[in-house]
Parts: sequence; C-alpha cells; structure tokens
Amino acid sequence: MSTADAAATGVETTAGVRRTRIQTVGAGAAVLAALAVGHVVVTAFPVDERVQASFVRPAAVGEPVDLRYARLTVGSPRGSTVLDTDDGSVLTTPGVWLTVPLTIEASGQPRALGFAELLGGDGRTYRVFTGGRSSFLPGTAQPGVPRYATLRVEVPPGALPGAHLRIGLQPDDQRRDDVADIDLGLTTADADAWATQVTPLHAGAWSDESPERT
Amino acid sequence: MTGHRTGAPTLARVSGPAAPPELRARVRASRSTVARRVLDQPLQRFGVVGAVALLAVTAAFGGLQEQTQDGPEELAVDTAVDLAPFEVTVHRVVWTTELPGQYLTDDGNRWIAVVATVRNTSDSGVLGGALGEALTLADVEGLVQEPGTLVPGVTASSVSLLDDGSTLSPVQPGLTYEAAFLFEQDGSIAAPTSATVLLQEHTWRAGSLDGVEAWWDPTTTLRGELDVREAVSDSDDGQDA
Repeated sequence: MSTADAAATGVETTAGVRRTRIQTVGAGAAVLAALAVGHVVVTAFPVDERVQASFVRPAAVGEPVDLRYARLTVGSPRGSTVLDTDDGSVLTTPGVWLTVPLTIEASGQPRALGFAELLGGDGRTYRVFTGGRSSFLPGTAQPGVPRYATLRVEVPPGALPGAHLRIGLQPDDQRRDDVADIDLGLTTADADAWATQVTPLHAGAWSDESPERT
Repeated sequence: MTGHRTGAPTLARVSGPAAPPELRARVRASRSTVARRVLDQPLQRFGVVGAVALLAVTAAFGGLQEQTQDGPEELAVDTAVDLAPFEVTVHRVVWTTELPGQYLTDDGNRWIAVVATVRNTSDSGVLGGALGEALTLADVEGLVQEPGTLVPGVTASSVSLLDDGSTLSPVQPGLTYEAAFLFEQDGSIAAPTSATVLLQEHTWRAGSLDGVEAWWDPTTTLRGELDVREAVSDSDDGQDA
C-alpha cells in the first residue's frame, strides 16, 4: 500500500467515524424531538379522561336499562332508620337506611355485578361494597335466569333528594364500560318520612325467585 | 533554616483520578474523548456529582418539600380533631372481658376498647381499613395483634359500632358514629392502667404502582397517654363501655 493509499484510507476511516457519530447524534435528537412532540400533543389535547370515561346509561325507577353485560331494572326504593339484614342482625344508623331492589338479566354469559355507589343529592358519593354495612352482593347471574337482589346503603337524610344510583360490572374499574345511572326520584318528603321511620326494612339475600312469587 | 513550598499539590488537598491506570490506558486506546475526560476527573468530583444527583432524585419525590409538622401534638380527650379523611373525638379507654357479638381468640383474653366519635369529613365513603389505621395503640404489653410496618402502633382487631355491634365499614360521609376500637390483650398479663393512643391522618394521592387514588401514608399527628379503667355495664351505673 502506497503512502497515498494509506492516507486516503485514513481519510475515509475518519470520515466514516464522523458520519457514524453524526448518525448517532441525529438518532438521539430525533428520539428527544419525538418525545417532546408527544408531550406537547398530550398536554395540548387532554383526551385521556374522555377516552377512559364510562358509558353512562341513564334510566328511571322501573325502567329497564340495557348494559353491555346485562339488562337491569331498578325497583322502588324504601327507607328507614332500622335494617333487618336477614342474617340475624338488626342494624341501626345515625342517618337513613336506603334499600333498592334490582333485577339483573345477564347477557351472553354469567355476570357478577360488583360495583355500586349512590351519588347523593348533596354532592357526596356514598360507596357500596360487596360486604360491610352498605353493601350490594348479587352473586353471579346466569343468562336467561333473572337475578333478584337488594342493595342497601346508609346516608344522611339530606343526601336522598335528587340521589342517583350507579351500577356497574367491575368493582374497581368502570373505565370504558357501561354504567347504569338510575334517577331514584326521591324527594325531601321521602327523606323526612324515612328519617323518623323505626319499622325495620328487610334486605334479604339475592335470589333467582321473583320477590312477588315468594 | 525554614522549609519552602515546592508548589506541588499535597494529597490532602487534591485527590487523584478515580480510575486505575490500566483502565485509563484502555480508554485512551479507544479514542473516546468523553470517556477519557470522565476518567481523568478526580474522585472528589464524582462525590459531588453523585450527591447532587441523589438530591435531585429525592427532590423529584418530594424530598425538598417543607416540613409542616415537627412531631405529634398532645391528644386531649373529648376534643374533636381533624385527621383526614376523618374527624375523631377520643372519649375514654376501658377494658372488658365480654362484648356482645365480639369473639376473643382465647376465652381468657380481654378487650381494650378506645371509645370514640368518628365522622368522615371527605366527600366520599371510606373503607374501614383507613379508619383502623387512623387510631392505634402503643405501650400496652401483651396485645395479640402485632405492630404493623406501615402504621405506627398496633391496629385494632375491629372497629365496632356501639349501637348495634356491627363493624364500621364503609364509613359514609356526613354521618356521626359512636364506635369502639377493639384491641385484644393476652389475659395472662395484667390489665393496663394506661395506654398510649396514636392518631394518624392520611393523604389522598395516587398509588405509586397502580395509579389508583386512595388514602395513603398514615402519619401520627397526635398522641396521648390515657388512663385505662375497667368497663362498667349499664346495670352498674348507666354507662356502658
């Protein structure tokens, strides 16, 4: 190899190294630019909440509401200061016990509804779990076999007028899924009457037998 | 004759390069300017950079936030205190061997009950677990429940409503409950004459792992050493536990 060839090869090697470095730096800059653009887009157009929002299906008492996973019908709510849980316990409350009968007709496959909450007319949220004092535990509804269950929740009387009941499938996650929103049609007169009512309400366990036939 | 300074730096004032000579030689051979300059830096400089980096990481997680409280305040009985998400009023501490609807793990044991008024001051119902963390007990020998790792003191075996004996969960907002925080004590140990009651408040934030917002980080804001007496029944003087 002549001196001139060696010099030419050296120049090519140096140029190659420089080109590789430029490419590396360019790739890094492109990644950073993409991240910056993504951040700007997400910040300028905050769509996360809208994308993840539940599909709220409004209904009234006695009016069936079709959800992705079940058809739901809410019966007339009742109230008192004393609750008979049908397991030997009688519960009192500093507020009012509200019971709501529900009929669940599962769609397509067995469904175990696990989410319920009461949106009070006072702006507060009264949470209902599958156990505890305020509870909703309908068990698994089979397709073609209506399930009858009773929800119970204790609230201050002031939360009753204008209250809505929300029912869903998953206990902890209602994102991008159907949620029934039932206007219970309660008034101040209902709240006043129930706040002094001492006759125990009966909140039995779930059943596949219609309450009207038992 | 007095000595004179040679002008050479002393070891005490300037530390040498952090990397050993072999590593420096390999890096020099690799022609990487950045690596060579990094390895030529003295060890002391790495310490400073590391400390700054550590401070930045802790700052990112709230390490530089202003400390709002120096320590727990003194708990006073029959005085309502705000402990997000609750308002708690501690009335008394009593012990008893029998409580309707409550079952000891051993018939010879006893209950130590902290009787309190509880109110959920948030705008949403809270599960009883957070309430159990809000009031704990310390400085009592022989408690059956072990001290937790996340909550100061020993949490109650259950929180029971005085009116109907049911477990208080969920705690709905806007309602005032009279409750007893129940702690089971080994019956072979003498009943205590005093106990330290710890009150914790929570912070509403998203979980680090799942991002779900909830009440986290129980932090003791009040503590008090209260007298413990034997409970008396309704038939004794009209005042129950």
